Amino acid sequence: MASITQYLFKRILFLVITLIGASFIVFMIIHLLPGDPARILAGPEATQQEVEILRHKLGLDKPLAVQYVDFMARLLHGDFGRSIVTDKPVGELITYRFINTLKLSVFGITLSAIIGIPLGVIAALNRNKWIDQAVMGFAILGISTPIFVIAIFLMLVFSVKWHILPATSVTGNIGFEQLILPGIALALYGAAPIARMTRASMLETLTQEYVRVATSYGIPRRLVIYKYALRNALIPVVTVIGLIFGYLLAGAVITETVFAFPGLGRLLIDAIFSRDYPVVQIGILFVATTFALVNTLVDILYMLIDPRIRVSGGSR
Amino acid sequence: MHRGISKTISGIILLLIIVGIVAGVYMYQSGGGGKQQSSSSSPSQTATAATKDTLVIAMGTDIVTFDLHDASDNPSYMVGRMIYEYLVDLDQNMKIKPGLATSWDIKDNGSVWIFHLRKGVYFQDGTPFNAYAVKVNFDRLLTHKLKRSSLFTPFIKEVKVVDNYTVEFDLKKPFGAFLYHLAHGAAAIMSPKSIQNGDPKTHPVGTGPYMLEKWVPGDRIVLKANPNYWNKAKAPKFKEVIFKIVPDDQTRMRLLQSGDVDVALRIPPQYVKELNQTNGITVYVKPTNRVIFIGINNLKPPLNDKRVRQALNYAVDKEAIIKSVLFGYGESATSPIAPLTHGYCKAGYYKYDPDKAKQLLAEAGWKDRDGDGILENAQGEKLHLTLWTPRGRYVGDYEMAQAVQQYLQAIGIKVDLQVWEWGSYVKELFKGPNQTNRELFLIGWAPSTGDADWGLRPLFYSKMWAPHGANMWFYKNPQVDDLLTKQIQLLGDQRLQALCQAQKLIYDDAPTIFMVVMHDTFGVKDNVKGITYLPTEIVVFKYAYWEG
Repeated sequence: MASITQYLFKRILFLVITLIGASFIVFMIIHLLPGDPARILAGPEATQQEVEILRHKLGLDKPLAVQYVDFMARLLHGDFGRSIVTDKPVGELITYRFINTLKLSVFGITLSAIIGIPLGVIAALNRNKWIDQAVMGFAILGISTPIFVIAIFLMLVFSVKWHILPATSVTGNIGFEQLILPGIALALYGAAPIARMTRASMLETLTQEYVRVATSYGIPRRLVIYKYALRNALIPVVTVIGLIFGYLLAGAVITETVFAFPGLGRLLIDAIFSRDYPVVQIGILFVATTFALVNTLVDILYMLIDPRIRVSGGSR
Repeated sequence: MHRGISKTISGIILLLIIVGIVAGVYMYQSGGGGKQQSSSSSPSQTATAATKDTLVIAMGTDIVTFDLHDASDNPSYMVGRMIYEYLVDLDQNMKIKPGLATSWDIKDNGSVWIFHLRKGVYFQDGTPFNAYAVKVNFDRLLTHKLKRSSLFTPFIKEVKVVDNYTVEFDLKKPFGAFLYHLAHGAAAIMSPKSIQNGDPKTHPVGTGPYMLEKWVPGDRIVLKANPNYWNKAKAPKFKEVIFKIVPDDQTRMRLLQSGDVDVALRIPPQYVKELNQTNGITVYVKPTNRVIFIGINNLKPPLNDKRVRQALNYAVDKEAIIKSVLFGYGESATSPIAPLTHGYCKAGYYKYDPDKAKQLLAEAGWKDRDGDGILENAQGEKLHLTLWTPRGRYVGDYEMAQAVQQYLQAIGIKVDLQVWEWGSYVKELFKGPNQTNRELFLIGWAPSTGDADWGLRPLFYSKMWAPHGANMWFYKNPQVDDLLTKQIQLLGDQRLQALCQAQKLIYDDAPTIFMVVMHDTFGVKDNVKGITYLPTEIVVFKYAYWEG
């Protein structure tokens, strides 16, 4: 049991270190850009007086280490600064968009897994037969079709032609209906790598000795596949799912653009183009934090799926 | 046994996938692809479609601010026009009409303007509209260094309150275009309370029919009706007006087809026909006062030779470009300003004539001396130019630049095309003569006052060379300078004559390739009426209403 707590402890420590690292990088963005950090944060339109006021307020005239501590203190208090372009508090701007992206990403990745894993299993079980080719063909199609093609296609079919699903949210309310089309677009895109990894992993697992041993013991094949082999095969699949989820979180910019979805991806891109650095900083921080959390969760999930990790404390 | 089941399941899934793909492709063909027959895709109500209480407009770019005194982008003006009003208004033909001022007197040959204000008008915060309110607004423009102050500070000396409903503008000198500056989007009349104690940037208070409910930057702007709007005959017909920001060109029009929005702005020209043929939707194509130029660096040899610049104008077939890139939605530029700009006169026309272009270049010393298809001068230097262009800033911008490149190469000029990101591009174009290497660059200009002065002086007056003004081509003609300075103070026909002369001189000097006057497109559900269009690229939704 000590090894479980040890493992957990290690992972959480690693998470904290990652978060500190991310916050440091985000903090340094302003200081690494050419020019005066206070001017960069105030924007090209501010008067020199306003720049000096901001410089003092944010402590940009103090030593770098002190500045970093101030920065972290402000972050932990929820003070994320103000947008240069609209002068609205960054927290307000980002939270709404981030929650939307979160909803969309969770929906998308869940759907991806629901589509991808079974397809991968079916392909593996019917290796080299026509069903396998078909599934892998679908996977290649999914990976190589540009996502905006999938997105526009969905919009054309379900909104324009059939009028059964909204193409965008006009009222700002992101409910289940508004998530469906962009979610499917993301899911079709993400299901492909999941299916491929599941298939490859299943195939590898099925050749393992313990599978043959179990079968020779007379355990029903179905039990062998779904209870024993699949669980092990899922480990690398969980990694892929974690990675894809991270990608979705960073904001599936193209999907968001096509569906005019108020998500984080578009916010970040817009902020970069309009040189709205406070928004860029905090946006990146949100994404990095969530990604680190998700990966930690994935690692903890490993522990649940693979008893070997539990016992040996982390090495496989 | 399980193998049999898993086989059946797999078979079914595969069948569904195939059917799905085939059906999907079929749907795409008849629904949105290439040839469209009118028919089935009429927008009906989906779950989130606009009701008669709400008007939903899809636009491509977000506003920057509600403080119109400090705004320079069209979206801000367009949305702001729902909330604010002006002393004088423009109608669709760019003629001045009374607005918050019912009449005016001109004294001292145009140096003193006295406006009689409308009575019974209140701002959305209850403050009364009167001469004092007008003075507060213009004092702000004159004393604070706002983006749009330069439209007023050179001309206005002082604003005086004569009585509660009479206000006097004392100008430094007579100014012929004065009314156009008062009708400009930047001359919005804001509540004095919001100027003194509020924040016009995010909390606009005007006299218009709609008020700000909510602004979610990057996503949408929600306006609600102003129940106390002064003009009872034109009371706001919608409870809510939502401007939804949809950056993707195609999505915008699809949202109109799906019924999610009622109006879609800026329809890509290749989709206009298809959209127009959709039941229940009409696409409007309106000429604007925006002219697209290929700017030429008039200081850099060989572009400093007028013959070379004229040759460039003759070498490009603008009609063909309009037909193929803009699908016919545009017209050749026959003046540095558009026909709908007040003060326009036809200055000339560089008809497509590649032979004449080659002839002019030959006169300037450029011939193909070694038979490689590229022109050289007497020293053997090749005629090699760089063409800069933005991408996605103007409709068809990149494609037009590509076409220009082709036309110039056809007469023997080697042209390199370079695409710029808009933010950096603007910075670069405003660099002065010693800081830049630019040669040819695509840029558009639309005088937001609707008047020729703002279309000519910032671009062609020699004291306006970048970075001081928008004379990005470093053009100088003392005669033109003289005319442009003179016309500021002239009124009526005298002014029009001076402007016309200036246009003819500029056109002949060819400081730029005069390309195209742009047409704007927007699609509207047939039930929506009362929308008007200003050639300054503003769609006016103020008095829109729903019918049927």
